[in-house]
Amino acid sequence: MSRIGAFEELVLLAVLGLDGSGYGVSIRDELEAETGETISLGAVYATLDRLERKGLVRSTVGSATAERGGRRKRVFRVSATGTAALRAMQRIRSQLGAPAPART
Amino acid sequence: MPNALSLVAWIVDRDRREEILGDLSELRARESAAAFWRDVLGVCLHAPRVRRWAGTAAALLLLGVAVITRDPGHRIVTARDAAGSFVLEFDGLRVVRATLDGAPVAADRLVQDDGRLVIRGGAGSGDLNIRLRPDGSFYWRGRVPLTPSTH
Repeated sequence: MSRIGAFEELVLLAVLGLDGSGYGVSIRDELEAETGETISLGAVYATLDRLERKGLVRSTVGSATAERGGRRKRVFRVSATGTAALRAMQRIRSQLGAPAPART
Repeated sequence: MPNALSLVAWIVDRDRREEILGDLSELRARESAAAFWRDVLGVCLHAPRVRRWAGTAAALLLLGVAVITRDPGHRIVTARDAAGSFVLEFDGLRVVRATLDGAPVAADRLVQDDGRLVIRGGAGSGDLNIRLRPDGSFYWRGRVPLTPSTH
């Protein structure tokens, strides 16, 4: 399984939440809304590149819109491997957060 | 991959360049100038994870490539408005062919001059007015679907 960093995990969760409609700006907006921090668009692109190289997200080119000057979006969707990586991270977090068994 | 190299990869890849410029166009329409330029720098520098040398090199490279690649070349763009879909085939900054709702548009219905393109509407739709910009981007006013008169 691919190891994912904390920011990669946040981006993956944002892509998952946008359910196939996520692209650079909307993913960044989602991250800023949920974290309350200013997120660089460049950092989002670089992370999406890494996630795609790891096979955790897939991208397709969408259609053009007027607000984008006739330029197309690249929309992202979490792959099955990406979903598995997120589940694994959740499991690790819950195990680490659980009280340790008493030692005798 | 170092930041400057990944930026080169993005600029050389036409689809990726289109994606980034489209995102920035969208942001330019809704953000203050300061926030917009912060975003442009963020793309160039991958801030906050940036080393100064890589960021400077990348920013200079972006400027150089932007100048070199002013002509967007040949491309086909599919888009949609209220009346349906349309396809524009560009050669540089000129539209050489168009399709409205799947039907090719005759050359005499393509009226183009000085940054403006009007595609005369066929049956069932009005004209499609498009403004073409020197950077290869374009904006349109959606056609209004024509309904049969009841008078």
